[in-house]
Amino acid sequence: MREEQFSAAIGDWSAEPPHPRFGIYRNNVASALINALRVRYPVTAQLVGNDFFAAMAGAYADKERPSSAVLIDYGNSFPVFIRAFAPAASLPYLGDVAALESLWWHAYHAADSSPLPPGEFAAVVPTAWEGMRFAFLPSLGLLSSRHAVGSIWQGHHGGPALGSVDLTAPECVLVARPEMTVELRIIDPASHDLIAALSGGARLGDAVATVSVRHAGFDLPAQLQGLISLNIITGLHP
Amino acid sequence: MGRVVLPPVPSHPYLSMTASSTIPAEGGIGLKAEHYRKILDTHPRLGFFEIHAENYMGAGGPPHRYLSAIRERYPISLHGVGLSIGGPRPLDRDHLIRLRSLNARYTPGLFSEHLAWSTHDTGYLSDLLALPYTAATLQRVCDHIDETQAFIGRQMLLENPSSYLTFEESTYDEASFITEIVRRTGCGLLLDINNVFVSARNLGTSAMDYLAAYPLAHVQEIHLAGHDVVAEEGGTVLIDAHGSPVAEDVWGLYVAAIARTGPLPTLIERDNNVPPLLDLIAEAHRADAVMARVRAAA
Repeated sequence: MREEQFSAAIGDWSAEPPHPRFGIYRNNVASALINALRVRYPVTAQLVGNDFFAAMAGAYADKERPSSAVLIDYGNSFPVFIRAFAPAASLPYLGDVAALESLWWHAYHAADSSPLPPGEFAAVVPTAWEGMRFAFLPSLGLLSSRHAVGSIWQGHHGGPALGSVDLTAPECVLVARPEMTVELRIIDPASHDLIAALSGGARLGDAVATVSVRHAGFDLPAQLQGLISLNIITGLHP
Repeated sequence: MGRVVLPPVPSHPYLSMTASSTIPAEGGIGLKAEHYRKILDTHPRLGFFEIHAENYMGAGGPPHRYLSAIRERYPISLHGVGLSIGGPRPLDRDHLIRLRSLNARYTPGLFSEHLAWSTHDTGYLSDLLALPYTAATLQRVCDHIDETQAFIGRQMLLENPSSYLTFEESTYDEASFITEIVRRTGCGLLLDINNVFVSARNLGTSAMDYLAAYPLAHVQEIHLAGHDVVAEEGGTVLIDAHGSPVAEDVWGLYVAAIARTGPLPTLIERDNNVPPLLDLIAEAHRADAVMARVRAAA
């Protein structure tokens, strides 16, 4: 066997192996990628079982190779792949569970930053709030799902047993790491939309104008208090 | 609220002095996330911890927090698996930058990479792939090592691969190829004893002959790991799987190598089926015992 034969065959898993032991290298590449996905998506793996997960992850790995040696970043598009993976269609929430795990992983490895201490908010002149823009933790992630993915995740991490969960109930979930522990909270849809608007760079006044149209009975003081208590804001800028 | 509980790292203000960078000629183990907590709680007697560089290329979070706390108490060796020194493509400049910043942040006593490749037109291939040993690949590898050592600003150690096959075009045997790399680049060597054993068995050559031809004077670190024995047509093939304890035959080869090199930093590598911390420490202490016998005989 020659180097160019090796190189051509390692890039194309359907190509004829150029050596009887060539499969060892292909197998090493595939199992490292499947293992990286298993580490990043453990609940997804538990929901479908090890064999199904290995087949699904292997199909993904065959299509999507890592762009660098930093496997921490591998598998960002796995949730999108799962949503379109026909053999998993009987579990319609599976892709969103994976999306939530992806946010958790991102939060775990995100840059460290400190939330503003509560005193900073008390110092804001009430009339100034409307024009404020907010900076958030780099670990912040938001997910709005048509399924109870927050409850499913919690059920796999010591939360209430899944028997009591209505899997068809929509849930919004916030993921963030204020210190060294990744926190996952189920939040109401109005809070989700408010934080999404603010983290997109909107001023508070503009964000509230948009969100209050979509959510009848939007209670700004309560929402603001809830937002501050989440411990995810790192900066306020007029 | 659901949370994965990850207790805070204990602070020891009286131990705020960072441990020396220098890695002693003792046993060490690979650092695994599942052992972070126990290491900080029990502070076991170990010469060093080795980290896979790529596992600490995230921006922040618990991996860096724990590694910083462990670095305060132990020397660290930094072991890269993804630079693709042996590949035909140019080295990834972003990856070199990441390696340089890890070197600056954690001041590892030793920094090593592999005689192998992993970058390909289709993306990063997550394995240590084989290369032929020719004048052309020798030049390529030496250029990449020169570039790495100049960019990071320190000597690197090169690790010998585990082999399953050979290339038609090879004109050097591996030990001669590595000898020439050391002569041209001034790099040091990481001698993986399990890889020597696995390659010799798979290629039908002699591990002792390999050690006799290998430039042992340049070895600064040793790796020991477990391998799998897998059936193939007409016999078995050994796979460098890092998922089991170091095999007895490999311990035997280690004793022979250490008798010639004298004591060296010796890593117990374990990446799969990671056992309790104490099991790995016991293997590291076995390496210490081998080295103590060599010291006593000297």
